[in-house]
Amino acid sequence: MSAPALSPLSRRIPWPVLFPAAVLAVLLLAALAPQVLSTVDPQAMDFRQALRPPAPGHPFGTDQLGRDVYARTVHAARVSLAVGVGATAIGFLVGSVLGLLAAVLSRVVDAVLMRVVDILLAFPGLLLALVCIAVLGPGPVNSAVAIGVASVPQYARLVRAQAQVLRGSGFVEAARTLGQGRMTVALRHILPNALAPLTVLATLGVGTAIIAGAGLSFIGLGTAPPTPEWGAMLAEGRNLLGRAWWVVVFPGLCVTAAAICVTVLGRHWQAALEGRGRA
Amino acid sequence: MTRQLLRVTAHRLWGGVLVLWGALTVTFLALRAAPGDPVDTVLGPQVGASPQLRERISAELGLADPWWLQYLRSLVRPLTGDLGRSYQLAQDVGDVLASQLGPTAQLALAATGLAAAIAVVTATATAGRGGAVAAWVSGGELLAVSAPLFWVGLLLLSVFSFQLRWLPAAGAGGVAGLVLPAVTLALPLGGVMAQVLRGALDRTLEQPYVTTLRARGLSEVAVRLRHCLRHGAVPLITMGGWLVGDLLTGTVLVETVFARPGIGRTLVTAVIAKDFPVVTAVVLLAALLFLVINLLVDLVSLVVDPRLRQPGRAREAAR
Repeated sequence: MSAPALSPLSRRIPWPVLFPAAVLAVLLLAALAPQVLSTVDPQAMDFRQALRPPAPGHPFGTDQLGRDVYARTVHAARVSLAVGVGATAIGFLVGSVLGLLAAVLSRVVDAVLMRVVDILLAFPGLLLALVCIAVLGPGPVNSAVAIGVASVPQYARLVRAQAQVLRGSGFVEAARTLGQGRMTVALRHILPNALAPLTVLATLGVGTAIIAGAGLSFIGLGTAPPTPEWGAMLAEGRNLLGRAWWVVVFPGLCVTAAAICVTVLGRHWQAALEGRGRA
Repeated sequence: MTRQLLRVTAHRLWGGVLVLWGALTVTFLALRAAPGDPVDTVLGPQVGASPQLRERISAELGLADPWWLQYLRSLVRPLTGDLGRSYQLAQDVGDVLASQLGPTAQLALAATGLAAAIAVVTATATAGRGGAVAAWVSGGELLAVSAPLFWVGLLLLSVFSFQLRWLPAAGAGGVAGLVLPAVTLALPLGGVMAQVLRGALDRTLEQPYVTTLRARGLSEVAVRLRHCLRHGAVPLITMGGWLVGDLLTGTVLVETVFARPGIGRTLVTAVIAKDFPVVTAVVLLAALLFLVINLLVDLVSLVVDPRLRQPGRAREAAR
């Protein structure tokens, strides 16, 4: 009975959604349970096997220390995706709180917070992240924090704009008339209704954050070798370009695939929400 | 129009002052929030520095003064052109930046020109047209916009420097060394610009005056290049501020990929070494660039698009 049940499902979900979702599912599997996809130890060195091109035993080839590039690429998914998701979560949470506070508290707080947000938005995100790393020092956790902090202004601005619109709506006025406090109204009535556009920004943000995290590792400020991470693998592969193209091709392909799939899904999510809003 | 230009300029300058103040405050807070003593950064790995030496360095850096005096100094000094001394390089930060500005400016200008060329060619050729070519071009744009810069750079390097041996692999020397970095930086910028330009051209091509032009027997190429491009360029010009931010971010990565000297590479080195005077100066440079470019964007928009010159539209344009 299960086979016929699947077909209406696949008919309902268009392939531009199904395909990126499937790719992301594989990458998520690599992050959560890498041993399912590769039983080889990503740190095991074998100098007699160094810099071998892709072949049946090593589908993605081996690096300068004879480590299996396929195993390393699979195991790298965990750190790379965690930095992307973690950074987005930080930006989302801190930004929402600040945006909500600006909209709910006094005009002075609003004016000051939003002026600061405007000023911060003038700087490219990577520059803010680099300033954060100069303070915190390099590392995977710090790079997630830095990317997250750099994205706070965007979330704060969006939440505040949403809250401003909702504040004037009937149900908020009704709640206030019923004698509910400012904070209750903000948390129980405004925030849940402001969430939909926020989820779009956050989904698109995960894609950007994955690339930013890999980029920071690539320039030597994120995850350091020998921990497998896509950006760090690219940095190691940079020195082998003349002899081994496969060391940089596959991790880069994963970063690109992850970012594009998340972005495509985010765009569909956005279109679906806007369609609902118009109806 | 002159009054309006002045008003737009004044509005921008005020916003710019705030951004510059913000840049200096953020970096000042960052310096104070950073764990560890800047004296250690200046001393480097030499461990056995005497207390007297430490005290002298601390006094030179002004670290013994109260925090408000240090803050005031950090605001006033850059106004006099004094960016301080680099902790690591034993050189004035102004000199450090001046020596690195050339290669970065070269790279940024080459990439901008290339990106504009990519955008104009692909957008004018495919705007208002469906079919397989348009689908492939927009697919290519999506890939160019989404693929990480550093990976694209590595792939180009692998193919054109190591496999085909057409272009040098590293260094800033000459035009040949500039080709791959500029292409790497231009691809994502060109992708975004092409998308924006095509959107604007699509809207312009539906205007009644285009029908008039066609009815007068103008060729399609002339309609697109001589008449529509100017209208389509307006949203492209307003992207100037974004463009500068993206270029700055891009140079950080591209200079690492191609081992080029420049501002981006200097910034990364300074971040690793916690060399705060250099970090501060680069942030300040970014703020200044942002200010200048946005002012230019406003003024050029007023020149290109006469509709913005009505009174009351100035504030709108200033945003």
